[in-house]
Amino acid sequence: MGMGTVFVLMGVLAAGATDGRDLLRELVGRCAGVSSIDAVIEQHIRYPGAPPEVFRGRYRADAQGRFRIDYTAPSVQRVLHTGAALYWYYPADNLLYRIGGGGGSAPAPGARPADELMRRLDERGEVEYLGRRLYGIFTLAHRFVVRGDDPRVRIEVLVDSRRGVVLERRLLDERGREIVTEVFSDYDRTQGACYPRRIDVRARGERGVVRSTTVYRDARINIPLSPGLFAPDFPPNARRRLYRDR
Amino acid sequence: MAGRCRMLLAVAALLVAVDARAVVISRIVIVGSSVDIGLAELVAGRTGDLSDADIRAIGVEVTRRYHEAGYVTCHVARLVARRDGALEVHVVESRVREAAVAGVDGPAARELAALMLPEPGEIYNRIVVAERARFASAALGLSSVRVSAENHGDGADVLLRITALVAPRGAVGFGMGYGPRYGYAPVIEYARPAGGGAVRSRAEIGFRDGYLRQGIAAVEFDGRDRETDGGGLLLGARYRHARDVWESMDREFLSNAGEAFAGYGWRFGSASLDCTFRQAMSGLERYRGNWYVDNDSRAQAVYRIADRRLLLDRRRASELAFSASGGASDLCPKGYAMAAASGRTALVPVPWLFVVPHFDAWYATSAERYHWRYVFDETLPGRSDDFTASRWKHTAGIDLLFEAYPDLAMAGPFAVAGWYRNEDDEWRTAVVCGVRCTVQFRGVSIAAAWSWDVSGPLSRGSVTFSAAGSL
Repeated sequence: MGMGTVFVLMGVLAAGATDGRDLLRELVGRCAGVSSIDAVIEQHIRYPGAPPEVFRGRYRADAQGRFRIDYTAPSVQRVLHTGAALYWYYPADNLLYRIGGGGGSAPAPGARPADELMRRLDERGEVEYLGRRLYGIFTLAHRFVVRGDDPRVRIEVLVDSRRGVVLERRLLDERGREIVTEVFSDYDRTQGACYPRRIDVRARGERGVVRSTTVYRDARINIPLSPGLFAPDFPPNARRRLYRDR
Repeated sequence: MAGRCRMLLAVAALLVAVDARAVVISRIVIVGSSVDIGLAELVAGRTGDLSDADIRAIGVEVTRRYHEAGYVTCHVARLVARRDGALEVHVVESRVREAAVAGVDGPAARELAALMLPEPGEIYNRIVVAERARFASAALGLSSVRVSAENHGDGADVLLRITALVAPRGAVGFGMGYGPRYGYAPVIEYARPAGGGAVRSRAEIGFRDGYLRQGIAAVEFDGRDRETDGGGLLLGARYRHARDVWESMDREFLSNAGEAFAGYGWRFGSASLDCTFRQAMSGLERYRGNWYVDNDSRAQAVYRIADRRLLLDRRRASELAFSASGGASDLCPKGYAMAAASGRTALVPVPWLFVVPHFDAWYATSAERYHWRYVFDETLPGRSDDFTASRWKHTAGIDLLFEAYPDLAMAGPFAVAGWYRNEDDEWRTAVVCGVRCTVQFRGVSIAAAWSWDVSGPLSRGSVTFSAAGSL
C-alpha cells in the first residue's frame, strides 16, 4: 500500500467523520432566498376515514418567519403567525385561538424549507452526511441525518445535488418508521429565488395517517409587504382561547 | 420543543439579570431545587473571577442537567450575583398538578390516573412518566398510553393529558373482487391480537358461469410481536375447494385440499423469514379422468424485505420476496420443488406521478397440473378466455400512475411482458397493456383495471376489479 493510498484512505475516513453541517449549508445556500411571498394557496387535507377537505386562500410570509393565511374556503378564517405567537381566527364565530407560548417559533409553511432547516441546524446537534442516492428517476440527492436532543428521533433530509433544494424531509423514530414526511416539489426559480410550489405532508396520528397537499399559485416573490400585515389586529371583543402545547 | 422553549426563556432571563462586567464569585447557591441530580457537584469549583458568559454557562449547564435527568420542564429562571460574592441560581421546578384521562372512563380512568400520577405535586419527569405509561399499559391491558404535558393554568406547573388506546378486540376486513379465473369473489377477514402476536382468519369464494370456482377458509397465527424484532411461532390451517381447468384438454377438474402448517418466523427491521412445514391432503376429482387422493408433505421458506410498515405513504413501498419449497406427495413420490421471486418498487420523480416497475418469477419441477399456476392471472392479465397453466413463468412490467386528485384517485397505463412454458411444454411470450385506476375514500380502496394481450390473437381483453375496506 503506497503513501498516496494511505493519504486517500485517511481523507475518506476524515470525510466520513466530518459533521455534514457545512456541506448542507453550502448546498442549500445555492438556492437564493425568499424574503417575502404573496401567493394563492390551495390545501387538500385528509384525515383518516374522512372525506377530503379543501382549503383555499391567500398566503403571505416574510423572512422573519411571520406568515398570514386568509382562507376563503371552506369558510373565512385567518391564520396569523406574528413571529411570537400563532393565532387562528374564525370571524363567523368571533373566536380567536392563540396557539403556543410567547416565545414560540412555529415555522412558516412553505416559503423556503431550507430556511427553517438552517434555523434548526443552529439549535440542534450533529448533522451526518450519508452520501448520495437516486431520488425519483433522474435526480441524485445528498442524504443527511440531523440528530437533536431526543435520541429516539432523527430527521432525514434529501437535498437535490444539482439545484441545492430540499426535496424531502422525514422525521423517523428509532426503528426507522416515518412519523412525519414532507415532500417539496415543483420549485419555482423564475423570480430570482426558489421556493416549492407544492408541499406534501404526511403525519402519523392516533387514528391513522393525516395527509395534506399544499399548492401555491400566482406567487409574487420578494415584494414589499405592508408592515401592518402581521399585526394581531383582531376584534377586541373576540372570544379568546389559549391552546398551549409543550 | 418544551426543552427548547424553556432554554430560550432561561437565556432571556439571564440576559436581564447578569451584569456585563466580570464579578468575583466566592460560592454558588442553588435556590428552589428539590431533586438530587448532582447540582452541587456540577457547580463545585466554578467560583472565582467570572465573566457574564461564565455565569450564563452555569445557568445553562444547570438547566441541561435537569433536562438530561428527564425534568424537561424545569429550568433556571434567574441568576443573581450578590454583593457578598454569592451567585444565586434560581431554579423553577414544574410540578404535576392534575391528570386528565381520555380514551377510557369510570374505574379504569381513575385507576389509570392513579398509576400515572400517584402523588399530585411531584416534579414532572418525562422519563418517569414514560415508564409509568408502559407499566400502566401492561397492567390495564391497554394497547398504549400516550401522555402529553400541558401548562396548568398560566403558571409553570403541568397538566398531564393522558390518552389511553384500548387494545382492539379485532378488525374486520371485507372486500369484493372480480377476476377472469375465479369470477366474482367476495372476501371477509378477521384479525385480532393474541399473545403478543395476531390471529387472522379469512374466507373467500369465487363464482363464475354459474359455478363455485373457488372457496377458501383459512386461519393463521403469527406469534411475532408486531412492534419489536424477534421470532415467533407460525401455525395455521387452510381448506380450499377449486374448480380448475386444463386449457390443452378443454377439461375441468375439482380439488378439495386441507392443509395444516407449523413453523417459526423471524422479523428484523424490514426483513422477515418464515420457515414452515406443511402437510396437506387433497381429493382430486376428474383429474386426468380419474379420482385421486394425494398426501403431500412440504417444507417452505419465504424471505421478504419490505418497507411497507415503515412508510406513511404505502404507495411508495418497495418489496422483494423469495420463496422456496420442496416435498413429496403420492402423485409425486420422487419429490418436487417450487421457487418464486417477486419484487416491486415505486419511483416518484414528482408527487403526481408514480412509476412502478415490478417482476414476478415462478418455477415448479412438478409435472402435475394442480401444482401449476394460471398464466393469465393477476400477474399477467389480458386474456379472460385463456386458462393455460404453466410451471415456468416470468413476468416484468411497469405501471404509470398519475394523480387525478391528491391522495384520492390515481390512474394510468401499464404494460407487462410475460415469458412462460405452456401445458404442451412450449415456450411462449405475451405482452399485455392496459389501464388501471385506484380510488381511496373513507377507508375503502377500490381498484379496477382493463387489459389486453397485444401480442397474441384477438381476445376480449380482461377486466379485474377489487374493493376493500375494514371496520
